[in-house]
Amino acid sequence: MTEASSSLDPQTRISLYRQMLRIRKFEEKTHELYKAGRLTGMSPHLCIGEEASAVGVISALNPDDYILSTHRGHGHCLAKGAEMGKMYAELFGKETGYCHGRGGSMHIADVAKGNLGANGIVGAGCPIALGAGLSIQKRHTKQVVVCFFGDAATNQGTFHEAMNMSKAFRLPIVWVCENNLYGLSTPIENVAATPTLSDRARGYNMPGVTVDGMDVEAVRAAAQEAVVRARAGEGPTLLEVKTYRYFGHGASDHRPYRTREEEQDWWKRCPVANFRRKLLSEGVTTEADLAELEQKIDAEVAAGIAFAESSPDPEPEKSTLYVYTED
Amino acid sequence: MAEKTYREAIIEAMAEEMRRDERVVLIGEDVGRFGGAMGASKGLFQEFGSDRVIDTPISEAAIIGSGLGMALTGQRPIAELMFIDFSGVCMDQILNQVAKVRYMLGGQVKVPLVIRTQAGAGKGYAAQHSQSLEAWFTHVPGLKVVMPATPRDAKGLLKSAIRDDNPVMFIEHKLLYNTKGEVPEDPDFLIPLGVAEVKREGSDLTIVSHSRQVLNCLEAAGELSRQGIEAEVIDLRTLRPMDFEAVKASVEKTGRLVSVEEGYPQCGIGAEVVARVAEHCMDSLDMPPIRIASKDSPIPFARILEQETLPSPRRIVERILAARKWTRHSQDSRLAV
Amino acid sequence: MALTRIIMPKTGAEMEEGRILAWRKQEGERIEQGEILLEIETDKATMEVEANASGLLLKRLYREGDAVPATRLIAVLGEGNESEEEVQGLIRTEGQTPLNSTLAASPPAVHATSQPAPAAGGGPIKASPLARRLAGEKGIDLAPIQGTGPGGRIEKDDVLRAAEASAARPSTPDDLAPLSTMRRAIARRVIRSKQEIPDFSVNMPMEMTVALKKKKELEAAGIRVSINDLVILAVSRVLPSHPDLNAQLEGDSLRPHREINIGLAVGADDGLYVPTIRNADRLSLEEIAAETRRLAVKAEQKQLNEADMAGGTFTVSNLGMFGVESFTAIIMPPQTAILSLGSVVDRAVRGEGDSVVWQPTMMATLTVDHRVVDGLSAARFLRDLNSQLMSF
Repeated sequence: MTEASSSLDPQTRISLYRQMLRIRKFEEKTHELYKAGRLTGMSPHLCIGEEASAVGVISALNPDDYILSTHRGHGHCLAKGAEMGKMYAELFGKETGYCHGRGGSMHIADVAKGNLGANGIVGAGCPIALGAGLSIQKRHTKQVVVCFFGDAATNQGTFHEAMNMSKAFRLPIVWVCENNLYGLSTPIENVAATPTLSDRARGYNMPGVTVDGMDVEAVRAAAQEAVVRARAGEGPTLLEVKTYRYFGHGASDHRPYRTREEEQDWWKRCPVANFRRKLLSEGVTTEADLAELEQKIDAEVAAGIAFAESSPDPEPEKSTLYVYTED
Repeated sequence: MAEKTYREAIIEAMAEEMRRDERVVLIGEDVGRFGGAMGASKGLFQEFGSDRVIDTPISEAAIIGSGLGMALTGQRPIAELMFIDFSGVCMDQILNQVAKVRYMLGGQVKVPLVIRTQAGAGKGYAAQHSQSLEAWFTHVPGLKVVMPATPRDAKGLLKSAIRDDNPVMFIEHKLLYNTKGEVPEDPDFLIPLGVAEVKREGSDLTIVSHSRQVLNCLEAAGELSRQGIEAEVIDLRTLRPMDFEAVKASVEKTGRLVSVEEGYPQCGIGAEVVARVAEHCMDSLDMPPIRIASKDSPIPFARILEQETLPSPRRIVERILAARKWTRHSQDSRLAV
Repeated sequence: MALTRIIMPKTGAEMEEGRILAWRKQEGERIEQGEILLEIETDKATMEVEANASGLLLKRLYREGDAVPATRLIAVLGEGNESEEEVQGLIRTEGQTPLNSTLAASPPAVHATSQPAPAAGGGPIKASPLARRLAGEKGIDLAPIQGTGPGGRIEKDDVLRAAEASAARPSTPDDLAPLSTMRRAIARRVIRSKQEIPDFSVNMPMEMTVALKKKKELEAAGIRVSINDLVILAVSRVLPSHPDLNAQLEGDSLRPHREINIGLAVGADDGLYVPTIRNADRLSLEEIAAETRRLAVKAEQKQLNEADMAGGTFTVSNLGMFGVESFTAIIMPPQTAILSLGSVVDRAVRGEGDSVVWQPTMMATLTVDHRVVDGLSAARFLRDLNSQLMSF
């Protein structure tokens, strides 16, 4: 594992904390709304516990870099610059949502911010990332693509096709495997041939790195190395971010496949709480400043929900809008 | 106008569009120096180089995903899927990604992607390299499906497909590559998607078909004509969006509908055509519709079996003759309704 | 919901059967209460029949062209969840058999053909949707057509041939064509009249000088009346003094009518209509003229309904406009008399001195039921009528 860097300036570090906390609070509220029956449809896949991965990786990117996200994608979406109001509106299925109510939790993305979409099919983003990489290569724009996927995606054929081709073509891609240990209920160690997923990179002759996904600065540092490599035309990297989803796969998953003790151990490593403590203990900020920051985020969340709830529903007669460009 | 093969028309269409628009790229297995498994990209690599004519590994999902990723980031890719039978390997990319991303994102993106592939039997390629799976894709909202029967249509439709901002399944037929026909050389010659063509006029019955079976239908129509029955042959050309108005107008004229396709009989294109006629112009039907398709089995290898499986001019003629007692060259059948 | 019976409506006291012209709903189709289910033709009119309840049309028991006795079950409505047994049960309790066996029992009237009727053994008429549509548009009855399609299916060409054939009539003597419902109804009526009523006729020339003068005066004032209107007026004024002629015989009793409703025989291409001028005795000449015109127009357009034709108590028939001088009409049961009018012709009569005067006259023939009245009564009526015509 890469050691966490503490060479970051205070502002950046506070910004990392702020982004993680935004995700945490966004997700907590989403959970609450769903439990209260205020959100309909499939239960959102919460990324509580995985904030450091989204924030650490995306903080290493430029605004015009691309990401491809997953079904557990709210964090990536926020970290890449999306607005809470439009995200909540999408969760509520409102016309003002990013996808005008056509996508929902699993497909929220702000494409203008370089997010090429969240995906409901495990591993399906990997081939698409290739295309973004080819496009960059052809245009010589020095952009980078980050493709997020879970541990379970590494058992999909698409992952292997994409890993291979990205290296064969030296595409500017950072493959970010968010290893949260379970594919729904199945422990990855039971179904993966390599205990360390980044080892799979060896088969594709590319660097494979595993990083502590509960340490945002460590994630950022590892991602930065991979991003630099990609931007320099040196090809892709497989970055395994070891993390944990504190909640179930979805709302109906009561986690019978793991112990509460295991969960408690991981809670002790909470990326948000620990980083907060670190910032305070290292004198980067004060309780008062953090309280103010936290208050602002609470207000942002409240405003986002208010915006979503007060937004109009999509017009039913326009349900086929956006199937084709002619629509 | 010059006589060209279907293959040359395809190559010409891509070359012209690549010259016209720098964003157009071709990606697929063996499409580069080799010129494509069907030879349908010969010369493009030499003219446009490896940045724009990209040979891939045999990784169909990666090919389609690459096409989609490029389309989402400002390119206008053509992804070649060597055989339509291989679409099973990358069906998620086509069905859940390419076809849906615009809708799922609420219109935030356009997907100007052409998936060029080829279908059809008749060369002894057996069950996994001979299918006509166009109905699968025609079923899916978000895709357009084009299936040309002639060199002229192939060129005009492919150019339109490349210029379209939506994903298009462009399905060629492996037996058509060497067929010849007049092809306009005007680089702005386009045939709009979604417009059928009456390939032969007739008053006694309407035959609706697409791709290579159009040629069989025309041959069958010639034989029927010798027997005093004048068939109108409509080439759908685009299966989605389907030009049903053309079918309707013809059925209203002739009162009789025959659909001919090379795909499997159940839930095929013919099923769709017949259903729409039943819905929208039932009162014009003077005869129960006839659906002609391949037999309900995988495509066999042995030539004698393969020929038995596929629709042929002879089978088309026989089915039509058996459908009713035709009044040969009867004035009655031409009475104004 | 329970099954709903749809019967052939009895649209008038005298209606015995109706012919189904067209079903507007297919079996399995939904129909709302008040929507038109079918069109029928009675001996007096064509009319639309509304559904008396909402539901699915489960069964049609007769096909287009069939003549069905009034009040007979013709269709069954339900919700669609009823079993076939239930439906058949209802039909059986009505003493009817479903369509297919009905057909077998009473084969449709057909042209003589060398082939057996295709529908033998059951099923509705087998015709292509296009053939059905064309038949509807051209008013062609599918029942007698022998289809040339597979299994005897009637196709477009069959309908077009039938249309041509019907346009080409008069047909050759070899052709046998079924009587229309109306002709059959007329046939039944006149047979009944001739079988039941011992009739005889009395005629008398009516002096029309005054009536014609009256007509001219009115015309000068811009009011159009016909000789017929004048006669109807006169009849309506005379009838109250001759109650036996405005009555009906019921067994051994005679029932005089309180109202004077003059039936007016109107010939049309497809048969005879007898619309009624109700309470003619209370109408002025102009009102009678207006009513006559209204009914004649409706008859021409085949728009006469049951109400227009109901309730006649005495009938006037006029063929004078064709130059017929006299004729004898047949009494329309249960009436007791009918007046037949000829054309107005000038007759030479002795004037003052030995001069010859041309006098316009019209032969009126009164046909009466001898069971009810004698020659004397008939003669008196004609005499009174003549006086009435001379006293406008």
